[in-house]
Amino acid sequence: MELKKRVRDACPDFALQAYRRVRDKLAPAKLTAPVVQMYINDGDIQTTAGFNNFLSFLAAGVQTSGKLRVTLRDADGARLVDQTMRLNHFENRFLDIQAMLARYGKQSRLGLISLVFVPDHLRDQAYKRLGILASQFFMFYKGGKGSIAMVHPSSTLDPHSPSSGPFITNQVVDTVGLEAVTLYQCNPSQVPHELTIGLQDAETKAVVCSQTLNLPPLGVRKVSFAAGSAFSANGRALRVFSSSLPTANSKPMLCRSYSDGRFSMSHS
Amino acid sequence: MASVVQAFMLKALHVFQVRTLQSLGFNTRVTLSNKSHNKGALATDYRVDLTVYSPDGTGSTYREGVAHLPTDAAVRLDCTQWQTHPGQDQVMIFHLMPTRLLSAANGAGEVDIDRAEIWSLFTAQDHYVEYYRLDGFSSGVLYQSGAFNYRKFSREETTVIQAPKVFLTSTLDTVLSVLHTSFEPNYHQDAVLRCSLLNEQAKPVAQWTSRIKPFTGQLISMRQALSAGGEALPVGDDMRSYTLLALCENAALLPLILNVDAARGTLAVEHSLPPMYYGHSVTGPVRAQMIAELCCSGIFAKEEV
Repeated sequence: MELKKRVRDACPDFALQAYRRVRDKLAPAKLTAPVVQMYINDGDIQTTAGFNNFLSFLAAGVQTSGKLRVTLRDADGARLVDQTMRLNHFENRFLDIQAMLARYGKQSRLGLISLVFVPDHLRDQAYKRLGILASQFFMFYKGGKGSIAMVHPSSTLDPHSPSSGPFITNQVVDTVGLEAVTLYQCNPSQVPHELTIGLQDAETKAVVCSQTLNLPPLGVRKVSFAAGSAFSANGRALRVFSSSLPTANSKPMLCRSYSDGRFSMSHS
Repeated sequence: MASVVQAFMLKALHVFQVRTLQSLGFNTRVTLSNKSHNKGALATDYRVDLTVYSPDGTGSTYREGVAHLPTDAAVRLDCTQWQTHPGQDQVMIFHLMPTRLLSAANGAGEVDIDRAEIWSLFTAQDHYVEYYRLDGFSSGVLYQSGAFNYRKFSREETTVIQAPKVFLTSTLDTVLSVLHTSFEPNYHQDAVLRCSLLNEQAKPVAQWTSRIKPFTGQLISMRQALSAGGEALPVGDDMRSYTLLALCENAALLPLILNVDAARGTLAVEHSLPPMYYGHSVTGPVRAQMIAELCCSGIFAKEEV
């Protein structure tokens, strides 16, 4: 560090500026850590991840092809599938999680999917002007009785992302007709994380039901609260809360299950 | 450095824009939250006002004080009570009026206000819209929606959508919902939205242009777009997947993607992710260049005159 400072101090300004121009030109575009979301593959719910070559869209002036790296982990964070596929200009992929697991001879009912797209010419100025690039995608969940859900990812696998404090969602759960509320919580960090997650009365903020989860690194846990035992389906409104989040914005997914077998689900 | 905006319409300071969904058989409910208490001296209660537009956008009614929203609280409002056209969809704008600024407004309802305060109050929280059936089934989404097409709020008057989330079966459709509103006086232009539906190999299977009248919410069915493009529709449980790309160069629109199974009465609602979520610097001139390049990309059909 000291040597670097001494060299910097000794260099004339024009030389430093020339060095910085060359350095910036040679530097690759910056990518975020892989973007992450939870998949469900429990026999009742199947998941498809939809990804488009977003660089074709953001920088249509250049032909963008590249590699999409897809990683699937099980609920305890163990890596099951690591697949790389090519994407040409404006192409997109819809990844059937059940089929991917089967192709690799793996079984997993719940876990993490992470994606990162790396263009072939990472040093192209067209990408660098876009700033830090995040490989966003969307998750489509399909279940029985026509149940469907669409959820975008909320976090990345950035190992430096700090945990955050108490979380209360801004959405309200109406309990009429509900059979259960199921929460899916992931831990995108590299360290174990303990949190208490549950439902509170939307008006009084009193805790109605909760459970403490010990989330392994890169793991996922599911917790269900049944109407009648965990909470009363009397029309009283509830909110999801968590004592903390493992990383920035790694919020739980909230699934409402109805007595006729349908569900709806969204990020909380 | 303070940046004061002169004569900013108070009713445009903090809004939540929704559409009703009667045409698909759903009632509409919103939950408005107030987390301004996290903003120190900017904390404020809100008086909630409401504008309800007619389905064709040519008429509106303004209701003052439909609710009071204290700090660190939420209020849940059923929109059914304000619907005026049974079976038709309407745009509703909830205006969160800071009570501490009400007395500072001039006769036209305008205040001089620091831009940082506008953004601080607006971004303090998201709000929730849910679509429900009388049997209890409910599906919704959290989002923020600013005072689009109001130059004192934002000069960005374009829309871009990239949505790899079109899923079709014999009963499942994906519908793009777009809201077109403005807070400018005498605003009357149609928004011109160019759309392209791509298969996995980037082949456009349908290209079209939709014109969205001001103060309306339009539903654009991907099933119908595919059919109009001459593509065979899926049969049975065979699921087809596509990416929707869309570009509007003359208005900021509020897009939501709805996955709908009309036969089963189910619905999924999700907002789109703006370009800054993909490239953190895609704003201002970088965004303008992105749009210019998209126009020349050939991915969209030429605009119909």
